[in-house]
Amino acid sequence: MVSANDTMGLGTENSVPSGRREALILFTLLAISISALAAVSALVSRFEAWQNRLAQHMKQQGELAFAAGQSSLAITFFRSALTFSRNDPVALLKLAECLRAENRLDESEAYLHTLWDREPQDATVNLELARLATRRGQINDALRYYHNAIYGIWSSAPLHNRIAARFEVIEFLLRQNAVPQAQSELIAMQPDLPPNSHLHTRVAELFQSIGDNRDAESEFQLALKLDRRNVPAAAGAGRAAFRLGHYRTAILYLDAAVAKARPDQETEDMLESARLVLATDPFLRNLSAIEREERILRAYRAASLRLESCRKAQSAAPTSAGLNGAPSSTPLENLVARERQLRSQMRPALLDRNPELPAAAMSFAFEVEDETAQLCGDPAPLDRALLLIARNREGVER
Amino acid sequence: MSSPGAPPLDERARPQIRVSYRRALTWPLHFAFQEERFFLILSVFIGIFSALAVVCFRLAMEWCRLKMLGPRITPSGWHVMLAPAAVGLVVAVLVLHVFPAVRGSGVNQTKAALYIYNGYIPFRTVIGKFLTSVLAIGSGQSLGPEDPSLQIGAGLASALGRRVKLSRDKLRLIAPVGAAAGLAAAFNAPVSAVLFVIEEVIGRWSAGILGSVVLSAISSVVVMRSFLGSEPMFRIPPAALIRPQELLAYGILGLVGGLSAVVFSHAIGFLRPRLKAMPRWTQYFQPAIAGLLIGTIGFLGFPQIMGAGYEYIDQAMHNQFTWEMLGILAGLKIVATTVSFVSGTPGGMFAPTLFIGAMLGGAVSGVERHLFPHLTGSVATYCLVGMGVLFAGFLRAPMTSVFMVLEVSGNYSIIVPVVVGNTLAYVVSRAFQPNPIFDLLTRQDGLELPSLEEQREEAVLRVEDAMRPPAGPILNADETVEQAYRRVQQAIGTVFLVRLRPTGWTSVSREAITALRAEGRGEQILAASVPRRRLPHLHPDHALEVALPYAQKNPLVPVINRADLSKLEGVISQEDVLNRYKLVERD
Repeated sequence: MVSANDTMGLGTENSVPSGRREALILFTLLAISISALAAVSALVSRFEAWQNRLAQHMKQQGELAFAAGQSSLAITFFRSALTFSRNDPVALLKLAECLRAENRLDESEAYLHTLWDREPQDATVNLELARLATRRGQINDALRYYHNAIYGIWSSAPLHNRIAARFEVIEFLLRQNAVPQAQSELIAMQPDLPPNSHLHTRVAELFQSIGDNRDAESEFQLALKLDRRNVPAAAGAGRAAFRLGHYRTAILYLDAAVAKARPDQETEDMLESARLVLATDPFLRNLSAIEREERILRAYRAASLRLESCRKAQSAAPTSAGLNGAPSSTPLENLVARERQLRSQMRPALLDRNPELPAAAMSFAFEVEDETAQLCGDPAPLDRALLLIARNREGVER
Repeated sequence: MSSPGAPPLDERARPQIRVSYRRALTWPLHFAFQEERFFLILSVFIGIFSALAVVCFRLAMEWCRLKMLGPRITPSGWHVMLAPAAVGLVVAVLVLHVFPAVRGSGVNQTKAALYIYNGYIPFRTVIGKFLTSVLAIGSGQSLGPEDPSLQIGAGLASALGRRVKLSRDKLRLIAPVGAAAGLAAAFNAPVSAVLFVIEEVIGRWSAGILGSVVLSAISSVVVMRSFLGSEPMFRIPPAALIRPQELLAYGILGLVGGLSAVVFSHAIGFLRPRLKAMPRWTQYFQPAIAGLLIGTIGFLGFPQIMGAGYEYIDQAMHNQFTWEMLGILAGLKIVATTVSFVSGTPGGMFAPTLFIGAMLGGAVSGVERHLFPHLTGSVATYCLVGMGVLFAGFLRAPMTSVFMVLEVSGNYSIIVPVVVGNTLAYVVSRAFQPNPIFDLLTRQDGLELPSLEEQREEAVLRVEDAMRPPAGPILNADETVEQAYRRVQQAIGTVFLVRLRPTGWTSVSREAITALRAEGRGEQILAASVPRRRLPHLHPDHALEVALPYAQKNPLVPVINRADLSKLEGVISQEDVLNRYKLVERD
C-alpha cells in the first residue's frame, strides 16, 4: 500500500505533517462547496422566478384561449406552462379541462389521475374526474367522484362548491333517469342548504321535477320565508300546492305570484282551475245544504253535457265494433244508461230525501269526466275542475 | 550525573517528548487521510461539484432554449428554422478554434482519460463542453445533455485530482468517479449512472473504485435533487403486466427496437468518418447545415425532434400522439440526431436514444393494439420498454438499460417486459452490428481503447481448466524416508506432494529423498527430514491468472476442494498453466 505521504507530494515538499494537508484540502473544499451551493441556490431561485413568470403568462394565455373557445390553442399554452412547473395543479387541472373539451378523454384522465394520485381528497380534481366519467356515461364512477368532490377538500368557498357539485350530480342523475337516487341526493342536500332563497327555490324546483311536490312545497315555502318577493318561489309553491290538491293554498301563492309579475299561461290556467275547483267542489266543509245540492246538480249537468258531446263525437268516428255491426257495451254506453237512470232523480227535493243520491251523482260525474278525458281530449274548465276534484277525492280515499 | 555544559536531562528529553506528542496528535489525521480514505471523501466533493455544474448546465441550456426558440412547447416561426443553423456556425468556430477537444463522445473521452492519459482531462474541455453544448442543444440541435454532463463531471474530477496531487493510480480512476456523478445528476438516477460507468467506462467490478463511484453518484443526486426536485424524470400512468402472453408483444418491440438501433448506429458509423474526412473549411458549415436541416423539420411541423425532447416523451407516454405520428417522430429523430452528431456538434446521444425508443415503443403499441385490441398494456408501458430497448440495442449497456428504465420512471412493476425487450434488442443489435457504438467511435478517432463488451464476454480460464491428477504417489509426513523412497521408485515424476498433519501440504523431490536415504536417514520420518515450508494451495474455481505467480515459485501447487480441505482435486504447475494458455491461443 502506498502511503498518502509518499504520493501526495505536497506533504513532503512543504514539510507539512501527513494528514494536515489533507485536512486543509478538505476544509478548503468544504468552504468552496458551501459558497458554490449558495451561489447556485441564488441562481436557481432567480431562474425559477423567471420560469414562474413565464408559466403564469402561459396560463393566462391558456385561460384566454379557453374562454374564447379555442381549446386546442389553450392546450398548447397550458402544456407550455407545465414545462416550467410540471406539478402546477392549476395548469394540470385546466389542461385536463381543455382536453375534455376537445374530447380527448384519455389524455384528460391521465392528467387528472396524476393529480388524484397526489391528493385523492382534492375536491376539484374529483369533480373533474366525475365530469369525465359523466362524459363516458360511467354512472358508478361519476357518483363516486361526485361524492368525493362533495365531501372532499375545497381550496376556497367549500360550502358554495359543495352545493354546486351536489346540484351537478342531481342534474346528471336526472339526465340518466335515476329518479330515486336524485331524490336521495336532494334530501341529503336539504340540511346543508344555507339560508338562501334562490338555493331553496332551485332545490324545490328539482323536487318538483321528480314529482315530489310535498318536499317541493316545503322548500318553496322556506324560500318565501327568506324572501317574500321571490316570484318563482311563490309560483312554484302555488304549483306544488295545486298538485297536492291544496287549492286554497295554491290560490294564495299563485295570486301572490301573479300580483308581483306577469304570469305565464300555466300559472294562469292553474289559478283558474283552483278557483273553479273551490267553486265547484260539493265536498268542501262549511257549505250550506242548499249550496252543496246546487253544486252536485251543477256537476251532474256538466258531466251529462260532456258525456253527450263525447258520445256524439265517438259515434261520428267509425269504430271497429260499428264496422262489424255487432252490438257493443262500451263504458260510455254504460254511463249513458246510468245518466238515464239518474236523470229523473236529479232534483233538490229528491237529493234531500235520498242520502245516497248525492254520492251516486258525484260518482257518476267523476266517472264521466275520467272516461271522457281519456276518449275526448281536453275538457272545458268546469270539466277540468271536476276531474281535479275526482282525482283529489280518489287520493284522499286511497 | 550530567556532563558540564550539557542541558539538564528534562530539557534534553523535551524535544523528544514534543515530537511524540505531535505524532500522537497527527496520527488520527494520518490514519483518517490514508489515500484510500481521502479518495472516498474526495468522491463526495466530486459529487457535489459535479451536481452544481450540471444544475448550472441545465439552467443555461433551458435559458438558451427559451431565448432562441420561445417559451411555447411547440415552437413555431422562422426562428425555429434559423436558430439552430446560426448557432451551428458559432459552435463550429468555437470547436475548431477554441475548444478542439470537445468534439466527440464524452464517454469515450473519459475512457481515454482512464486508459491513455492517466486521468487527465483538460479543464478547458470542461468549459468548452459546457458552452458549446448549451448553445447547440439550447438552439434545438437534436442531442442530449447527459453525455456532456458526464464529461463535465469527469473533467471537474480530473482537475480536482490534479490540484490535490493524487497518486497516478488514483488520478486515473478519478475521471470515472466524476463521470458517474455527472451522469447521475443529469439522469436523476444514481444506480444507472454507477452501472453505466462500471459497464461502459471502467469495464470491471472493482471494490476499490465502486465505493467512490457510488459515493460521488449519490452525493451528486442529493445535491441535484435539492435544487431541481426529486421527482422521477417521467410521470408514468399506472402500468402492470396483466397477462404473461403479452410478453410476446414486448418481444416484438425488442426486435423492432434492435433493428432500429442497428440502422441508427450504421448511419452514424457510415457518415461520421466521411464528414470528418471532408476539407477543413467544410467543418465550419457542417453544424450549421445540420442545424438548418433540423430547423426545417421543426418548421415543417415536427418541432418535437428539436433538442433533448424529454417533454415530448412525457406527452407520448400520456397518449398524446397517434401511433402514426409516433412512428414519424422516431424516424425523424434518427435522422436529426445522426446529422447533429456526425457534424461534430457537441452533445450526447442518451436523450435522443430515449426519445427514439419511447416513440418507437408508442408506435409499436399502436400497431399491436390495432391488430390485437385485447392487449392491456398502456402506451406508457410500451414507451418505457421502448426506451430501454433502444438503450440496450444502441448503447449496448444491457444492465444499465434495465435499471435506467426503472429509475427514470420510478416504476418497478414492468421489469419483466423491460428485461425481455432489452435482451432481444441487444441480441439483434449484436447480430447485425458487431461493434458497439462507443467502440466504433473510438476506432474512428484512431484510438485503441479496450472493448468492454469483448472483455465482458471473454471466457475466463480457471484452475480447473489447467490442473491435472498428481503424477506420482501422495506421500504422508509421518511415513519414513525409506518408505517414501520405495514408493517414488516405482512412480514417474520428479516432485511429489507430502500431506502434512493435521492439514497442509509441502513437496519433496525424488533427488532429495534419494539423498536423505544415502545419508542414512532412511528411518527418519519425512516430517523431520524435509523442509517444513508449507505450499500455498488453490481451489478449482480460482482464475488461472491467480495460479501463475504461485506456480512460478513452486514446482507443484495442490488444488484442493473448498468443502473438504483434505481432499486433493489435482495439482498444477507452471507448465500446466502455460500449456493451457497456449491451447487458447491456438484455438
